[in-house]
Amino acid sequence: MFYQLARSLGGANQLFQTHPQLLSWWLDEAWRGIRLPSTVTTGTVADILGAPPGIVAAMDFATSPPSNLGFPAGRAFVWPNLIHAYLLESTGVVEIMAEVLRRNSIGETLDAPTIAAQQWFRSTEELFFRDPPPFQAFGIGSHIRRYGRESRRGAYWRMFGLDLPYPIPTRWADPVGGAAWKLDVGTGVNNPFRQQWTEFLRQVWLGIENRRNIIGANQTDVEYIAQLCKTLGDMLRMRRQGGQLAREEAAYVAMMSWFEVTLSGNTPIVDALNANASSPAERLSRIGQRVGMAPTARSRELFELARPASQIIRSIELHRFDTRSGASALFPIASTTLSERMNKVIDLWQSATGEVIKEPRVTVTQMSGTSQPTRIPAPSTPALVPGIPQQQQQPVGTTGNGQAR
Amino acid sequence: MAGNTPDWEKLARRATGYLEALATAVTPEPGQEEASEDFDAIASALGDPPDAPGFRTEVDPANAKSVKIYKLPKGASSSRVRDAGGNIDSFRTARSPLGLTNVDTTKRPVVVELYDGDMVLLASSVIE
Repeated sequence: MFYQLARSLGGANQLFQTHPQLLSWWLDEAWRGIRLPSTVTTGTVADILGAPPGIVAAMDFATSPPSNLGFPAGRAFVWPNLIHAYLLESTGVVEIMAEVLRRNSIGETLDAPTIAAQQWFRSTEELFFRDPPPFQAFGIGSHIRRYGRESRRGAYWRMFGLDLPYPIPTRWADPVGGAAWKLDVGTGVNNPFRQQWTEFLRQVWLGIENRRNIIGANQTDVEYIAQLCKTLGDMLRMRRQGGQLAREEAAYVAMMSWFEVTLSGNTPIVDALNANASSPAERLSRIGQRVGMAPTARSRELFELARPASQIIRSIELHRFDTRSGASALFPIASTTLSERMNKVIDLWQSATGEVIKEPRVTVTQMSGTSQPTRIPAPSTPALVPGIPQQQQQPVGTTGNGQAR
Repeated sequence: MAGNTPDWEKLARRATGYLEALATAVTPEPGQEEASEDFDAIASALGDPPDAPGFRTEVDPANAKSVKIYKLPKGASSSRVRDAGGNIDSFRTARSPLGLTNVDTTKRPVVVELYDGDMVLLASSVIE
């Protein structure tokens, strides 16, 4: 989100020199400025914000002061999918930057900052580490959800069934205790997301491997890939019913994109922390060294994966690959931007997660091996609620043996 | 010997069949190109303009008040040039070279952006 604004303003430095009050107002302009390109022929904004449509107007600021930043100003503009925020936060960027902010604000364990670095400190703290201004669409902190870290983890958990790869630091944990956020989300969790997403990547890789194969056995099953895309899309839209998670997604993506821009180059804060390097992951690693912390092991892949993965998932949400022709565009004979991004996502996901996607699946069974599971995947499987016996969680009208009453 | 004579007709049929299969395989399925173009538009709206091979710009050394654009990406129908001072020149159609009136190309970097008819950013180039 801030990446798009930085491009419009002419670079990261122009973004960081903009007053945080204007940026705060701009966030609300961005909220109401979401607009799909008119050339996109499938899907609507409701597919990525939740049906029925109207969440943007319902949550919009009543009278918003203009930021005069000139963007998006009627242009096609969409903020990234929540996966963008999840992958970036998985690097540990929030905790490392929070520690930098903390140290800068309470003592002098860091070098004296430059004026430009001070502007970054101030904007970052004002925008993301304080109670949000009331009545704004992005103001999702309150006495009800006091701990942003837990709220973000809850959103990731609901949408993807994924938690961050590290615990909440003790310093910032909810003093009342524990991971209550995971207990309280109920059955609305997309637990099968990771399995279906990996299967989708694996099937597309089969397509890439065989895209020039016109004479031998070809395991590519375009219809199955289209089916997987429908399932993934349905799964994500299930969590968005009634506009749920729309504001959270926008706010969390905004926060992570701020840090993405921060580390996208040798920006004033990177320079002030003596962390100049050639990649975001290396810059984050050097900043971490200043405060005695280290990013997660695969942060390089996670930084590179965030945007292309978001683009692919947004396209899935917009039904772009739900048809045979749409799915086959993921691995055409002649490469396109789409096919190159898809290939990149497969490479980086395998490297970041360690899940083997490119090796053929070996099945030891009496049946002949097939590339498709027996059953077509369902959008989601309700999770069991902890503390309630499993027998009491059967859907109404079924018995324990699976037969209708 | 007669038994070693190739069956030219059979070979020709086999070659024709192979070429037809090859032609079918390399022909994009209906809708495939649209899906790819839609993705480009979505990626652009997400702030990541698609790669535009050959899109290159430079300030014309013979005339510091113009910018040359090479090989317009498909669908480009307007352009914007911005200097480091925030001055902007907009053009309804992208053409080469662009005559500039407001932009001071000595104020670097100069940013050139190309848009489609819907003002979706297609590509940008920075002249350092």
